[in-house]
Amino acid sequence: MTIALFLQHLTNALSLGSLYALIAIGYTMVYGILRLINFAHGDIFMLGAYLAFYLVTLALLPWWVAFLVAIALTAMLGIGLERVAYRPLRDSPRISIMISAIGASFLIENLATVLFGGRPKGFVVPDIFSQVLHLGSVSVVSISVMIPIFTFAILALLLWIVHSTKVGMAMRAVSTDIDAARLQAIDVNRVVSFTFGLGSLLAAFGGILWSLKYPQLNPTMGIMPGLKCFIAAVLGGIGNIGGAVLGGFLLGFIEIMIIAFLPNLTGYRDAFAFVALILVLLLKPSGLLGKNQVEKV
Amino acid sequence: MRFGGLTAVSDLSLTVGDGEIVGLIGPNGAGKTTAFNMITGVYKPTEGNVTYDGVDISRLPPHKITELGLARTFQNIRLFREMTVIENVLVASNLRMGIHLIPSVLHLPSYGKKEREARARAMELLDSVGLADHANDSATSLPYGKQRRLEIVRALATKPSLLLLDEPAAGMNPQESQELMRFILSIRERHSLSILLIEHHMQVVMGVCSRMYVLEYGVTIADGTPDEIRKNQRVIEAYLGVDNAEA
Amino acid sequence: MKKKTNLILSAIACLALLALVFVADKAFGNFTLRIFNLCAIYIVLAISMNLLNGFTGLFSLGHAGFMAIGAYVCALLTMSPAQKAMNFFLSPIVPVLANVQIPFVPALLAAGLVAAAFAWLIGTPVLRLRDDYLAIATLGFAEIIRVVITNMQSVTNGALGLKGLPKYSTTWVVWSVAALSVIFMFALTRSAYGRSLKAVRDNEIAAQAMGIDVAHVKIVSFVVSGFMAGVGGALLGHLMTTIDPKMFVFGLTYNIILIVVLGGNGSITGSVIASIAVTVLMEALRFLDGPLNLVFVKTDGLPGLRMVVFSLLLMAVVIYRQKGLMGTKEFSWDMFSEAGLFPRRKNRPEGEGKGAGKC
Repeated sequence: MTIALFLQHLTNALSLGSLYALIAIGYTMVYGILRLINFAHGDIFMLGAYLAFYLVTLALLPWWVAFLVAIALTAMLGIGLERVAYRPLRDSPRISIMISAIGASFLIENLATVLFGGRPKGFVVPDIFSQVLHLGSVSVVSISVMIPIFTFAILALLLWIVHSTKVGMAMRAVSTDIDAARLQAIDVNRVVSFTFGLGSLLAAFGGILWSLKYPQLNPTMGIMPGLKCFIAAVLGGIGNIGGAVLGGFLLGFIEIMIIAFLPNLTGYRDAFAFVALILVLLLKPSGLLGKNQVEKV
Repeated sequence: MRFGGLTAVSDLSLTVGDGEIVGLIGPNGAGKTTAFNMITGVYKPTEGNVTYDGVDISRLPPHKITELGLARTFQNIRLFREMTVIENVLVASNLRMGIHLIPSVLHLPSYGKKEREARARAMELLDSVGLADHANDSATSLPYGKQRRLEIVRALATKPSLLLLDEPAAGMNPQESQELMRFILSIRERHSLSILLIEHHMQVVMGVCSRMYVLEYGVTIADGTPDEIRKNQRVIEAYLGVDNAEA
Repeated sequence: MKKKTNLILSAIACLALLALVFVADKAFGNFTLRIFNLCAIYIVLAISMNLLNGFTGLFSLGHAGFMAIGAYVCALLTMSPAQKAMNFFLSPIVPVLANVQIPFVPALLAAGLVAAAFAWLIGTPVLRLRDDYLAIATLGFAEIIRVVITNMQSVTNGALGLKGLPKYSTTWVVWSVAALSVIFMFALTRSAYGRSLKAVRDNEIAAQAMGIDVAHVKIVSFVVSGFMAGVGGALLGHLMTTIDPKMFVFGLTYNIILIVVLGGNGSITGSVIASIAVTVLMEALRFLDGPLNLVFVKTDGLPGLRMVVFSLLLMAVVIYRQKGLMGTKEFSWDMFSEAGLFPRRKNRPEGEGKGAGKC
């Protein structure tokens, strides 16, 4: 393999890793607060992409306006989802809320099929993102470089929110102990809504970036990335934002690099994440950066 | 016993002899239930070991420890919620009956005999605590006090030789505590048990235990007979401000 | 109700059921018969999931994987060499499988056993995990199985799937298996071992403390459930006569979850009723996916609408009536007398009405 090819793979890995990281954060935040695997998160990602698409093609908004509006709308949808599907079950056994999450996921996917049609659509990619850049002997598409940059910017913002704002502190409190947080007069409902909103926002952002790089939209496009990103979150240590980022990048790298060096395993591409999951769950269930949680008897 | 950076129990050395009733007391958070959990195999001690009847049980899984003859009740009652009162007791009988999948499913005659015996014994146990009339009621429909009694007879159904009771008198009024004391003494006779008891109710502990250990922040600060403990300065200090029945 | 009355009623019910199956086999048209038989297969599948989830408290999302294993094993064992040659035109089948052809019943058993073996392999490490992690891990395995099947061209024919499976899933076969499953489950849940299962579900730590080898019970449950899922998958394959990896996506597991939740997680009767209801409803509501003419709205076919309705139904049940139709209760003839349909007897003897379909 030439250096040029390797660097190309590396850029792809970075991009994919960034996208996975963005989506994984949403999973890990929600799990940290509610101990819930939000199966519908991948579908939120899908909705973000579709909304952006329709705002550009139907509402004819300039792309950057459309993207921002789409992200905002998706964040609201995420908040709505929590209100309707998860809040009523907050005190129910965990299995019920998981079934609700699965149901919500299927609901959204099928609703999307009904509303948007099952046939794939081509995303509208503004020119600035499809420029081919030549860096020495390496050619990359501009979006591949921009994705990691955007991602890091967003992550910096997120870290600031979580560590330096009141809301962020509230989030961390609820994630440590929801009952204690209530006793400290933290409005848990608002924190949860905020978390869902934030997570959905990131997912929408990820959805749009994804579609800029892989411009094919279909209602089930969120399933595989969704599953893989949950796995990424588990890899890094569920409940831990840094872990989600680490997991996302790790998974992106594993996926691209294995194919790069062993191209005859391409068909098994989707299975890598699952194998990684099984290994982590068996060897270190708390994930790379996670802490062991002991159940009180 | 270490949990990450926190050491819950660091100095505990206790012995229970045949037929004794030994108490384990201490302020809240002292590590008493953790000690129970180590003994019954729910936690594996990070240091030290647990020996039962000469056998090192420190690394054994809980069900094997129960098989060897140690049974317990829980501080927060852990009944089988979707099952009836008698079913709760019957589950505990499975251990000694040797229940396996195929004969059980096929309802073989030998199985039928075991079932009848188990039921008879379960009804006896329920009767001894006045729960016989509630045999077919859902376990969670019982009032709190009766649920506690059910937990105790459930543990007895495993035919233990050492019974660990975790705060059996919690939430009981003085009269109920008296009954409980009598009950504890009677089951020791009837089932030839040794008993290890965690309790906050000083009356109960002083009344039934022949010896006690006092734990504070995971460290044993005193041990001896009730009289000795009652007069122990360190113990009184540890409890200062918290409930103590007699000074 | 007196026990004797219960038995008589149950006997009558069994005979009625036999008669129904007989008539159906003779009188139903092909399409209707297929739906009728599909109900039976879903009964088997729903019961196997209920065993895991409703009775042992293990939330596993890997059902589709075991079904796939069962379906493929049975197919590869029962297809004639000629049929195999026809299917494997892209790359020939591995020699060891090329000439194997055995009768249906042994193949069905093999399907179940292989699925059970995989369940044992997967379960041993995975069952120690907490419920949500268990769910994801089993989902992961199901996906791995699917990806592997899609890629092992010379064993499974990969993405092309297998066509022309012999039509072994006749009315009598599937309904016999369904009946056997129901009887087995009732026998299990009413037994002492069944109590151990339920204890693990209700309070694992207490179960351990009462001497139950929880890890062992979980594995047994998982393996038995895997066996039944494998058999169900095989029956499904031979009903549809074609199988391919796309059949065994998570959506299939989801359908079964739907049935179990609707019927009541922990009720065998509920699973039976819900299997029939949902299978029939799925067909009946197929029109939703096609052109619709409601007075105000005309549509040209909205594929997916049917599943939207079902998803809404599932969520409504899970949010507002978690217990589903039957909760954890089973059918008993007493239900009718309690509803005022049968004359009550003046002196009701103590005891549970257990006339639940035992033939």
